[in-house]
Amino acid sequence: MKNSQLYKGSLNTIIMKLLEENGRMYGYEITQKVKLITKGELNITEGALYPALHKLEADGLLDVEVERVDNRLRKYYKLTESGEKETVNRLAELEDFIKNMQSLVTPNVNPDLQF
Amino acid sequence: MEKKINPEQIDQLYTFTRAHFVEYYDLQTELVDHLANAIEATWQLKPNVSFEDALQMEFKKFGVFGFSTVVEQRQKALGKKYYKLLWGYFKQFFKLPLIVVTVALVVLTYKILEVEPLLYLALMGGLVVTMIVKITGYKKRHDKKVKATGKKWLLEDIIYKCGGVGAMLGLPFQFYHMLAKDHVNTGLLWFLSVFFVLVALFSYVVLFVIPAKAEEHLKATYPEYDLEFSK
Repeated sequence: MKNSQLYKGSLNTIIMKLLEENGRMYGYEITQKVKLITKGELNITEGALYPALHKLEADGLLDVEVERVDNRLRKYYKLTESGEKETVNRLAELEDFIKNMQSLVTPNVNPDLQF
Repeated sequence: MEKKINPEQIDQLYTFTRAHFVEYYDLQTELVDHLANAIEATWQLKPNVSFEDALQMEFKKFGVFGFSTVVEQRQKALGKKYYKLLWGYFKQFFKLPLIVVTVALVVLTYKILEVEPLLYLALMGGLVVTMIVKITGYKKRHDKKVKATGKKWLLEDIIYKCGGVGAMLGLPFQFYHMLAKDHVNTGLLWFLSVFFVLVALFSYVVLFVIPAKAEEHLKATYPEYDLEFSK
């Protein structure tokens, strides 16, 4: 993933946000969607995506469905009810984070925060 | 026409994941679909790339450790799920109505130990023998099933290995040295009674309750579990 240290902490939120918008998605679809939205700037590695999905599933935030597509089985992920609530919280948290980082990086944007 | 992965290639992908140390069918299936999608996407742009080359290109994206990070994390995630299940059943024994049974068992154990403190060893011995018999039985049955179906499911594996409870076989014999000395008193007997009942209830959940509900939990975790066996 590009600038992995910076993005790492937000991977779960990115996944949950995508699922909130798209209903249900499968792993490969998520990697492609992120690439598309960020115009190839952000590339979620496979080695990071699946562990994140499995952890969210074990935490009860995601549910799974399996369907036979073409000649293979495909596993779809979707938000559970508690996953939906958690997405709202995490997005709010992320937005706060972005706002604060912006204030710190370009302090003149927000005069209130100047020392 | 779009070039698609054929059924033989799907089989090759399963073989490929197995060769790269993914022994669990649930994880193999997810990775096979991922690789198949990625290979088909490569073919859309470069239809002349061979299946083998496209596969290697995709596999490289998993990094130097290949699938091992994904496998490890999956084991961790399902291990967590198992312990959540275990805890869910275990804590029922401390809520009404089952707490009555728990208290009764503690009192009964105390009464037994009051007669002869060394019976603690017999009780714990009985528990350990039960553990060994059950775990060996499950292992045999599970191995047979895996051999017959060719599929190993991670959660099923954890359930029938009883969450690694075998590693705790020595635990029940803790405190026995206290019995050998002269300071056996009421407090110690109560302590041992509570300890024995806790270990016994934990073992009961791991050895009997969860395996009895294995199908139910497996179907909830793996929607494909049903799909596979209804074919």
